[in-house]
Amino acid sequence: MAKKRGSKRSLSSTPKGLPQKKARVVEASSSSHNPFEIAKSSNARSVKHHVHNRHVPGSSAPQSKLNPHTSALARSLKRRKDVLRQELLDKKKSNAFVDKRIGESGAAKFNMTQEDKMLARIVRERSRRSKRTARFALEDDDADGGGMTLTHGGKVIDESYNPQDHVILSDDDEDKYSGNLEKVDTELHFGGGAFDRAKRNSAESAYGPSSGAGGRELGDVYRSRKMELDEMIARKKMEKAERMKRKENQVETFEEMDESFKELASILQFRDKEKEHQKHAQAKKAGMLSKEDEEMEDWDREMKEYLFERKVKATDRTKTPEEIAQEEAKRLQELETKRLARMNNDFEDDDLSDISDDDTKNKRQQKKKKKRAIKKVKSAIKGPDELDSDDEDEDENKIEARFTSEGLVYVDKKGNIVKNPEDESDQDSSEETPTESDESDAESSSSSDEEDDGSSSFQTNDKSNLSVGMKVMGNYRLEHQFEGRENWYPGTISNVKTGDDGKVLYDVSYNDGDFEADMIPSNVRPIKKEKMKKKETEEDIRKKKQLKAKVKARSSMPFVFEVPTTLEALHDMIATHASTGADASLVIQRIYAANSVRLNKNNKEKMQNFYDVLLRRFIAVGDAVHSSGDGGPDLGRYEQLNALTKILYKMAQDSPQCAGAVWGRRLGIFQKALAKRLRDSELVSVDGCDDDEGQHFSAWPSTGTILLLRALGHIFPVTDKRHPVVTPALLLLGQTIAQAPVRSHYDLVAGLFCSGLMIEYTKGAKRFPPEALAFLAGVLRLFSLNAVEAASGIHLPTLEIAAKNPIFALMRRSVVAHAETSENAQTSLTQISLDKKMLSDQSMPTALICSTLKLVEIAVSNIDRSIGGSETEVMLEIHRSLLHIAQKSKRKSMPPIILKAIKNSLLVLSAGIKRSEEH
Amino acid sequence: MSSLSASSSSAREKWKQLKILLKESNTNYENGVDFHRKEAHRFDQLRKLFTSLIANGELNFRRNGNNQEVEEEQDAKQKWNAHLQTQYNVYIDQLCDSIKHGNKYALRSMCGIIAVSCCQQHQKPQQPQEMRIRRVDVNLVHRMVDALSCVQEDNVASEMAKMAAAEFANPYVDGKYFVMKSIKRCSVEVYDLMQSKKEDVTVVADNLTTLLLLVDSIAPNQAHLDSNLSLLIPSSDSANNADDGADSTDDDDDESDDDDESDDDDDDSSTISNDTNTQSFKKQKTSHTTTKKKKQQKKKISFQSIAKFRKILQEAWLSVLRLPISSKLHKRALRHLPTNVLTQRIPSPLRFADFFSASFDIGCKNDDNDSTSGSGSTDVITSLLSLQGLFHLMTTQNLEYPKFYTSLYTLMSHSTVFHVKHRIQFCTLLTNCLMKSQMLPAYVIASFCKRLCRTCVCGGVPPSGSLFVLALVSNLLRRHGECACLVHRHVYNKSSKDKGNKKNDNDDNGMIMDVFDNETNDPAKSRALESSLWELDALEKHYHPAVSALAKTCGTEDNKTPPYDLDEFLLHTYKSLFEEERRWGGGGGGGGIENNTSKKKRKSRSVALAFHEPKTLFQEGDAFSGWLSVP
Repeated sequence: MAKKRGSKRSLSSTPKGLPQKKARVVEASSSSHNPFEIAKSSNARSVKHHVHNRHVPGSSAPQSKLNPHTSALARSLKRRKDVLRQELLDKKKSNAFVDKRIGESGAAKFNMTQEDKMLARIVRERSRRSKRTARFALEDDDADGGGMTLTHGGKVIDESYNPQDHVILSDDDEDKYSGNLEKVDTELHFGGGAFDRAKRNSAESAYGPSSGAGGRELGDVYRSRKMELDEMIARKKMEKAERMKRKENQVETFEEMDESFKELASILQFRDKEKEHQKHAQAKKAGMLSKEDEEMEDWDREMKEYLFERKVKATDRTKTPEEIAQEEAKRLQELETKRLARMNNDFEDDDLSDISDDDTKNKRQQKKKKKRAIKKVKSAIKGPDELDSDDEDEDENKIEARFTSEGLVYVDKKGNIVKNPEDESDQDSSEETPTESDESDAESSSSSDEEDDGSSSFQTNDKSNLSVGMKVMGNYRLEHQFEGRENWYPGTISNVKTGDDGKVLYDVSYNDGDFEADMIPSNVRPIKKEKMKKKETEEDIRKKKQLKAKVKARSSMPFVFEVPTTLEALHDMIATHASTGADASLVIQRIYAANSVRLNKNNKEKMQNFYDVLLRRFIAVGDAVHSSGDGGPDLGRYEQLNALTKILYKMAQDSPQCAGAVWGRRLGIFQKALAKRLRDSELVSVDGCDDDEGQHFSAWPSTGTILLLRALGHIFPVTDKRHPVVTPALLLLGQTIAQAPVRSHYDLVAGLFCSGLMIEYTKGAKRFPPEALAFLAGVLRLFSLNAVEAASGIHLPTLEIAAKNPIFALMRRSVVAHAETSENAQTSLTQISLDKKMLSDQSMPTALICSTLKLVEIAVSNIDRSIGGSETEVMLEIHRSLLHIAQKSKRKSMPPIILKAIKNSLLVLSAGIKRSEEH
Repeated sequence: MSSLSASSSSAREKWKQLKILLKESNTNYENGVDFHRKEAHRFDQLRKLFTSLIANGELNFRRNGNNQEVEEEQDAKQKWNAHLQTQYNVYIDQLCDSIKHGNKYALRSMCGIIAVSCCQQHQKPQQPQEMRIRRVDVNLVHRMVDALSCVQEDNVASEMAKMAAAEFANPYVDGKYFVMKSIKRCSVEVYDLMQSKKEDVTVVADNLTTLLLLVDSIAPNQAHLDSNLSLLIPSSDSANNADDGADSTDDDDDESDDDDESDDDDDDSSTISNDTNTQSFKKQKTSHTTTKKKKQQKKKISFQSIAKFRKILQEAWLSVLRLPISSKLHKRALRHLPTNVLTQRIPSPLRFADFFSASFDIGCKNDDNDSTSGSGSTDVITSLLSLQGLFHLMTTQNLEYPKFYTSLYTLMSHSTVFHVKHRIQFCTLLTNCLMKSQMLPAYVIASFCKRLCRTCVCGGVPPSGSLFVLALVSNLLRRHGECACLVHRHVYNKSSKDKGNKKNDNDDNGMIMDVFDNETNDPAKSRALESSLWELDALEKHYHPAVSALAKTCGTEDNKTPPYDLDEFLLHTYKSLFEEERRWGGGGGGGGIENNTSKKKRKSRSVALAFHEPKTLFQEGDAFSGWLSVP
């Protein structure tokens, strides 16, 4: 069914636009020529004299002369027919043109007037545009009149249509009927019409061509339909029966199995849960639980804890830092007012809650307090002014603890520094500090007991007095104690035995869970029972509490401090209120808490200043670490540094801007100081030992400064690509490493430290510090066999100077020598400490090389982590240096442990390279 | 002079005084403030005495070659004169002795004496005294310089030299001239001494060099030379006198002869011992023989001609540089020469080329044997400075030095050149050599780029140095397109990875084995063009942000970006970078290195803070765990 658009032209028709009518008119009435259509030769175009063979424009062709009367149009039409038509025919184009315009062809052409035509056209146009027709208009309705096509499911229904296909295709959604009804239903519902007729015609029934076939056919259909339904019902029933049967079977099988289980069950053995439980409890009591059980135990406990945990109502919101600071400051203020009140014997609205806690434990202490209170009373009689005097005034040896930048110094009345501080001198001030634990309270009280009661009787105690299970006071770890300070703790004797030399030794288990074996009798003394039993009336307790509180208030440090503006002021403050390092940290902590920027914006300036003071304090403590070590548990300089670091961090968090400014200024000062030292160092002779006291001039920064730079890494993020504080600090370190000449062991240690800092700073962001790596490579080379040769491979001028220095030329030798003398050096790697004592130590060169190797390993592992290929190459020089010093020689071979370390470092290096290659 | 009898009594007094003063000098030298004060006083007294004697005319130095005959008819006056002269000589000896011990006052007295005792001896005797030309006594200056050169202590010697230069040589043109002349004479003597007796003359050589370094080598302009003001002993008005002209001209010619023949100098030195000056005698004779063609010119004494001045400058330096001088002075000389001496239009600057090339070899002598290792930083500086001198000669005097680029390349392997004080000079030299010529072969450029970057990565070069190197490399890569393969190598390699697996220099993972040979010092053999600049990648990880940024862009700029201004990079130091970073962080500072203008408005930057609260100063797992014992 080819659909043809009517716009195609037929070949026979003349081109559109040519007035056919006229042509016909011309042909019909050839007598009446259109005078305009005849090209006359007698026009302006005619020539005066006819010249043979001369073509005159406008004149007709020679043949036209034969029929001079034909019009120009006719001629051109003829030509067109002769030439163009032939051409088109040759091209084998065979389209015909049907003019379907209204009123242009057929009878209408003559019947319709112009107006009718226009009207008809506009009606057609309107009807086409109108929605109504458009809605139902099929696209190609006009093509072949009545030829309607039916579709089903988008498919044209015609001869090729196979309903079966269609059914199969679309039965998905009609699953329930299993496709049984499909065909019938279709026929029943949609049967009849052309489609059915065609079908019937094609598939003739047995009774011949269908004459009135409609009813019979339908009956057939119904019958077959009934049969089908019956069949289906039967099928379903059968299925149901089968299902029932299967179920019965299953039940039977279960029953059988249940019966057989009893037999099997008799074979099985069950564990005794109850017994196990008991066992577990026993084991628990004995403390001999297996590891697994222990874990389970922990788990259970934790679970139970969660179970019984108090259900807390959700609070409104978390407190802002400002509020926290406010609360802290308020708390301290309260404590301070209370303290001041107590000092003035004002116990109104004071519940003494903070005193009562240790009441039962330290009755004896209160006795002492009582004594002291009596003293106080006596002195109060003398004059009211005496009351305010310090406790120390009453002590015989008037040694005062001063806390200076040097650390804890004991100063007597005249201001001289007493070298060996007695424990008693600072006991009074330290024992009641609120920070100290009850243990220390007990300890100090016991020791004061000793002097109060005259402990000589205990010293000469009979051995037989002590037996197992007796409650005693033990002097804990005598040999580890600091400067003869004694630590007495209550405990029980768990074992009595006789030592090798006939002395009786005691094993004491302390009340706090500690245990000490083999104590000599002088360190163990029994506790007087009667003291323990002493009863006191309620009133007494209260009184004593008050007294104690008063004394405590007097001796303890204030809770609120003013902000010191200078380092000296801070040191004075610490000297008056603190005796230990922990106290000093506490003082600083309280200064911070009471004057935080969070409390009041006006504090900003004060705190900025204080921040700088703290930095300087940090440096001072750090330098003290260098000059005299950690300073024992009392001073705990490293602990102080830790505390300072924390406070510096907190303050920086409060006001980053201030912290940045202060740090920046401090770094600027460091830089200037470094520049000055570098200038000075040029004037100092190469040996650097121009002072008589062996004080080396060093261009390197002091230990405190370096330690401060370590703290910097905690306060500011070192991973920033560009940071206003960290980047200058890095540059400063780089300059130090590259330019400060190495002249002594201290310089080397400082150099290693600075390199370590650079590595630490850059490790997070996986950058690399060339100066630090070159320094490490150079230091390694200092240990080579030949100093001159080594110097040639050193890249930093700072170390080139060192290579010429006799101190370092002998380093390798001294490493070897040290290894020979000390066994320790052969077994373990020595570590560097910041203490000055270390520098003159025999093991210094060994420690240096060990540390360098360790640092190299750290650096490698840092750089190694970033795998980009080029970074591992950075370690090239270090690699070389390592190979260089690993050279073996018969005379001066390195000790094996160090050789091993070198080898290890090399392995780490090459492993790093390999790993980067794998990726 | 006119009243001899009247002066005889005073002469007696003076004689007595002289005797006393001179006698005291016989006491042994001992160290003490008192002693030195006394000595200073004594020398000053003596100087005053002799000054007055000379001014009186009682002591004059007109004892000439025809001395012997005159002596026959000596009268008392002349006898007194002769006596005074011997006393004078004793005094000079004492002064020299004292100078050798490093006494400044002696030097000052010496200068004073030189200033008053002008020598006139080579004037024609028949000329009236007032017409005679007065000029500085060469021998006295020589003795002073000789004494100066013998000062043993280093510091004292330099102090003395400084003083001599500042008070004697530099202010006065003639003083300067004669000091240089004496230096030359001394160094020739010392050199001979060294050659013949193998003595250690380093101290003397050092002292001479120090003095020569201190003497202002810039020749004054002609007008300055002509004016009397700049002369220690103003040549009497006759110098400008046309009548007297002939003599001065003769003298001029004389001196030129003298200078040209080194024999003459030797003669000079030989005549020091005896006071009679044969030289002057000879000059007199020669002066007669020489023609007087220059009569029409303005008459000058030798030191008043700029040409003479330049010549003696050159001679003095050349003779001093022959001596073995300490490395410190060597460096100072190397630094001094190109800027101060070679620019003085000396007659033959190429004669210094030997010195420079020899100096370079001192610095890098080890490198031929062991190329991996450089020598100490001091020697590197020596080489560097000598290269600079050579460069100067090459550019200004057309010196042929084919090894130049190799030498420069060798020098670069020592990263210390980026640390030393003269690094700016080194960098300028690099810039001049590499940037100013378009004609350098690509392999040279590539080798230089490679080695520079390698040194930056492995040698602990400061960030300032790295910045400069990166800027230079960037400029070089842009200018020499042939070297772009150094940066783009990996692209090429990845494409050829599939087939390149079998190649040895291609790793499995697309990594390139660096074929660059850093050990060799010959750019042609380094195979740098076949390598790649992986160092740039490493430098991107540099801790300094500017270095990192520059390394990132290096080699990838398009042609439109203007090349870096290397002079800007020259000036960076640790300190300047430090200040830059601090300014960047705080206050109303400008922007970073790259964007100085854009961020001016920014008031102050907020400071980022770490968010991990530290528990302790040293934490487990930081770079210090394991080797630093912290409780």
